[in-house]
Amino acid sequence: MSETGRETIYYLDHLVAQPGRAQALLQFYMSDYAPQARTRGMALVHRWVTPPLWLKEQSNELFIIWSVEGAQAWWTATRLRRADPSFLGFWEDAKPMIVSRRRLFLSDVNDVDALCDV
Amino acid sequence: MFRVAKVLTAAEGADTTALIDGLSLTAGKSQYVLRSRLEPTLPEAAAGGDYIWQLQFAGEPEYRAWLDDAGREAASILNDAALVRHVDAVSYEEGRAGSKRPLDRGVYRLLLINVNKAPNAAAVAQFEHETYEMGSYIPGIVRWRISRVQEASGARPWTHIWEQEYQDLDGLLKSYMLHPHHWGWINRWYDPECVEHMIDNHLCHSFCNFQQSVIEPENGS
Repeated sequence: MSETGRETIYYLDHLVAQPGRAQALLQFYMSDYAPQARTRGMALVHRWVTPPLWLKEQSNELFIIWSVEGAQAWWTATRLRRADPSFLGFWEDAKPMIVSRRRLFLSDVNDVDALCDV
Repeated sequence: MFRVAKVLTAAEGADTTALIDGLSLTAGKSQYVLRSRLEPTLPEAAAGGDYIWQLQFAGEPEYRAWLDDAGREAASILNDAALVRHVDAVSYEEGRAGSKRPLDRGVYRLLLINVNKAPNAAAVAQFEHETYEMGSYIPGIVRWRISRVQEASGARPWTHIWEQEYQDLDGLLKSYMLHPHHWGWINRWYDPECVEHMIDNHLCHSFCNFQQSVIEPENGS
C-alpha cells in the first residue's frame, strides 16, 4: 500500500508482436518511446515477455509497465504526453511490428479504496 | 426539454453589461424561453470563456420559434465583434441524467466533446454509458447529464455535452479529476495513446457558480 495521495499508478503496455518481431519491437520501444516517457515523469518498472524465449515464427507478447506516484503525477505526465506529438509518432512507426496492443492503467488492489476516496 | 448552452468569450474592452443585459433581454421577453441563466465563468476555468449562457425550452419547436423571434437579436449580439470574440454553442435534447441529492447552489461544469473517430455506434453508446456512470462512481458529482448535441458551432462540431453539478469547486477539481474512474477508465476514449481513442483532443471545458440546478434527473431527487 502506498502513501495516501501518492498511491502508485501503473501503466501497462500490452503488445502482441508480429511473429519474429518482438525483440525488434522492444528495442524500438526502448530507444524511441522510453526516453520520452522518462522525461514526462514515468518510471520504467518491468519489461516482461511471454513465452520467455524469442519466437521466430509466432508472436511474443510484451508487457511493459511504467509507474507514477499519485493521480496528480498521472495528470502531469498525461498533459505532457498529449502536448508532444512525438509520442503518437512512435505508435505510428511501430505499427508494422504490432499485431495488437492495449494500454491499461492499474493499481495495487490495496490502494483502490484510497484512490477512490477523493 | 430542449436546451441551448453557449460559452462566450467577450471581446477585449467589450461593454459586458450591455452584453449580459442584451442577451438576457432576448430570453426574458420571449414566451418560448422557460429559463435563462447567464453566469460568469470562474477564474479557475482557464480558457473556458467568460460566460456560460443556458436556455431551456419546452421542446425543439419552441427553440425554433425563439430563433425566428428574439433569437435573431441574440444572434446579432453574439455576432457583434465589439462585444464577443468567440462562442462555442450547442443545442440539444436532454440526455440521460442522474442525481444523488437535490442541490440548490454550487458549481456547474460543462464539457463539449467532439467524438470524431468512433469506430462504430456501439463504441459511442459505450462511451455515453460510461460517462453517465461517472456520476454514480465519483463522490463529488452530485447531479449529472450526458446529451447528444443536435446543432453545434464554435471551435469544433461538438457531438456531446457532459454536464455536472458539484457542491463546491473541490468536487470538480479534486474529486472528479483525481478519481480513478476518470484517469484509469474513461480516459482511454480521450487518450491518443490508447487504442480506444476516438475523441478530438480539443475540448471546451468551462464552469460557473449556479443558484438553481439545471439538471432534472430521471429519478427525480
